[in-house]
Amino acid sequence: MRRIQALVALAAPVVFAGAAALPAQPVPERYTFAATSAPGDALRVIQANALVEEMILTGELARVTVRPDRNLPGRVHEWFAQIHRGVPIHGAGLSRQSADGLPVSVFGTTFADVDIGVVPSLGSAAALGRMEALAGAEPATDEPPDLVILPTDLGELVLAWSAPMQDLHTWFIDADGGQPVHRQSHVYTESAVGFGLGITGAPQKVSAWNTGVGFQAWDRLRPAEIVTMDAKGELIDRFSLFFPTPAWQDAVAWDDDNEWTNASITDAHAHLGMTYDYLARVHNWAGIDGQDGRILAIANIDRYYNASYLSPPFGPQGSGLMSFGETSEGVPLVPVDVVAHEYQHGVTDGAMLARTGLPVIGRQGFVLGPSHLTVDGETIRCGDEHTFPAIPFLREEERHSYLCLDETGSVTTSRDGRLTLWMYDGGSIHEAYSDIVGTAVEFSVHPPGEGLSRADYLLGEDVEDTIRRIDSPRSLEIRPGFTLPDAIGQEFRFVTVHVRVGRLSFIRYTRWGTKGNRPFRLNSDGYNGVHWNSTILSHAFYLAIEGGTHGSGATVAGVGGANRHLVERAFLRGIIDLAPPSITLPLMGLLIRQAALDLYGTDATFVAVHEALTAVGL
Amino acid sequence: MRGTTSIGQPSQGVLAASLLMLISSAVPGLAQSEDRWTISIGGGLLAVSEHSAEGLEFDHRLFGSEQGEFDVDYAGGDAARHGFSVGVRLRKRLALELTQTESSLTENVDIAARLPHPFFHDTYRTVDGNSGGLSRDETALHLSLKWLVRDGEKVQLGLFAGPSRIDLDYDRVSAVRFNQTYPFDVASYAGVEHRTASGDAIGFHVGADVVRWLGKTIGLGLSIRFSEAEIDLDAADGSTVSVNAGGPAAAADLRFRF
Repeated sequence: MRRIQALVALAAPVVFAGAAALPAQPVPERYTFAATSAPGDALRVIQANALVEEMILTGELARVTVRPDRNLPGRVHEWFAQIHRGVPIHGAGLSRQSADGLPVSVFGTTFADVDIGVVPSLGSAAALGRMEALAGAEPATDEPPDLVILPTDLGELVLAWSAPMQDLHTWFIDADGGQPVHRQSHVYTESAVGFGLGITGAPQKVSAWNTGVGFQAWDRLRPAEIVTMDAKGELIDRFSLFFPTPAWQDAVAWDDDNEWTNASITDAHAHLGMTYDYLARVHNWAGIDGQDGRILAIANIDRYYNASYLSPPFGPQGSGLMSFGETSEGVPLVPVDVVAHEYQHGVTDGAMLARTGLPVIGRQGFVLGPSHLTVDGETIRCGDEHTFPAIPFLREEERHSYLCLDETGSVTTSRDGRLTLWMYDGGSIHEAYSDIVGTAVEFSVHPPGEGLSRADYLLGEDVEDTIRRIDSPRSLEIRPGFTLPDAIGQEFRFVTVHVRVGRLSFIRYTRWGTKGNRPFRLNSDGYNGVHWNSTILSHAFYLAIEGGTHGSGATVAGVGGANRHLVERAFLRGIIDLAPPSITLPLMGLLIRQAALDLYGTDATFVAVHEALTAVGL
Repeated sequence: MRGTTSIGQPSQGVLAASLLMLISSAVPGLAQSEDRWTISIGGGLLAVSEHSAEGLEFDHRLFGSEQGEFDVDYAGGDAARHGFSVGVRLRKRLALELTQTESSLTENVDIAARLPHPFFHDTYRTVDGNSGGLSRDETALHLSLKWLVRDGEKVQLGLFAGPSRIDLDYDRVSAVRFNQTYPFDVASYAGVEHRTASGDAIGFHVGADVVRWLGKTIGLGLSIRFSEAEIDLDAADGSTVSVNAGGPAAAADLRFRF
């Protein structure tokens, strides 16, 4: 088994394999597969398919879903989760695409030589109590916790209990000792960068529901109902809608005469509908969850979180919730690209959930940096401890050693060690897709051009403060001298500390890091850089459409604006239909190429997509 | 208003007939003769021309702040027509006649409409189609001076002209019905909604008739008449539309003289 896995797997780059020697306990081998239908890859597909069949026979893979392709007749997509003695390995598994019964592509991650007990010493009730204590919140659902095998960022496998809690995180705790081993946020939020002045004021149609005594912002014309609630600036209302409650129906935005005067409600509701339309028309995708489930959003929240998406099982119906607030200047954050951005967070997770039963997990990887970094006269170096200051009533001060490796790849506190510089690929992919769809929806409803209500490759420009531009990421700086990246090698990477919890090892991001060879220190955490690093993938999207010469000198022949839907379909197919839950940027590049091959063969669109991804280093 | 009114109010036809008798008795020098009075009753066709077309706007609950538009072309046609008349000879070759006619047409319309998209401004779907069953009812009262070009014992030929009053009850298209489903990029024609508009006006008529007397009292007549009155009707969108009532008509009738 291990031989065939090694035979089929991608050559593992350092970002995948570097952590293998970190923990004290034996670490299983992790293999990432990308067997594509590209010419010359046929043998790899045959081998990968043989591996799938063999792992099914041995009970190591269990088929979770089988779904017909949404766009290509005869194609079928299956997701197989990796199982160890009846317990799923969180995020591990293989995604197989077949055509008329023959394998076309296989993507995913598996672990070999898994040797971990699956009998927890902590019962499920005790585990839930432990998670309540850790989260300071009750469980988010009535479901019992799940027993899973969790791969940590450092390559260990941990038997863990998992449950979503009302602090808006899914917690994972060691099923033996009860220590926290991971928590995954359900909030995808835009960065807290302040925006400028007002929205466009363009007239919108509001698809409303006539109650007989007034009108609700409740769209029942589209196949999926779209409901926009009104927080009326009271943050407490929004918090109350984080959890299942029938009270959401009392919060639905209302107008007496159907002539809507609240710009935030009007734009949010209209732009949600436009995003629904775009995904339905261009991608044959139904709503957020792919099944036209009700779509819920709330506008007129205050400045907290600005704009965000809260994934299931949270939200007033347990199906997620989009929230739209305002800029620091009080301007509603509801331009079409921002609304579509948050909507796509839901689609990215919803598609993955529907196909694999898991949200996008993503992976974090590192490269080795120098032994020390100096910024503004302050230096951190291997062997030092990093201090996380106390937060009153929430957290005590913590000190941990910087995570450094010696020349053998072992953790060291020696001054001669090398700092590990980390990047969160999964979050960057999530954000990139949200920007891609935000841009695509804008082009679907506005004519190209500059200014208000014009389509461009800028994000947030209609509230007069562009936070990203995917046509020219390097023209924007997050601080003097630090531009957004447009290729691998320019990404923001973060120094982490090494946290030991009992027998387990974890990482925690600091605000120190590097971009290329330049060190930085942030005043805020920057959400692990996921928004900034997203422009690597989203810039490839731009190049595949518009073409041009990349900063590296690579030339891309784009398909042209008139054919933008071709590129959009390839990119969305990569995440919606093909991607496994555990993804990295390099793997995403291969998935998108496979999607382009599926849709267009090796014609000009595939060439444009391939050249664009190559130009940005994917 | 089709020549009948509420109890206690005489109809226009009765009023006109009374006026006719008053005039005949007031005209001096008229000798009583056996054929001074004539009555006719008959039927025929009124050709309603295809001139009635208009463009209107209409609302729909899914149009938002925009309005739909449609052009409607009323096809016209031949309306069944019946009527009666009474006449009196004022001079040897000069007569006064009062004629009331009623015509009824079931009319077709051709529709071409632009429908605002329920989600997007300045985005329209076009539909077109044809519907029937719209009623156009005219009641006309013609007061004619007739000159008998030929006044033979067996054949009479007359030319006549005078004012006409025409009442019109007209089913006018007020909105277009359509079918649509998500994504609402296209719609299909499903018919029209209409409402009856009424109006009246004074116009004119000219014509000619010929009578073949079969005996002392009874004869068969043929007549052609062109009448016209421009009637303002209230359109569905609150505007006013002018319709030409009347038109060329031909009729055959049974006549009596005494």
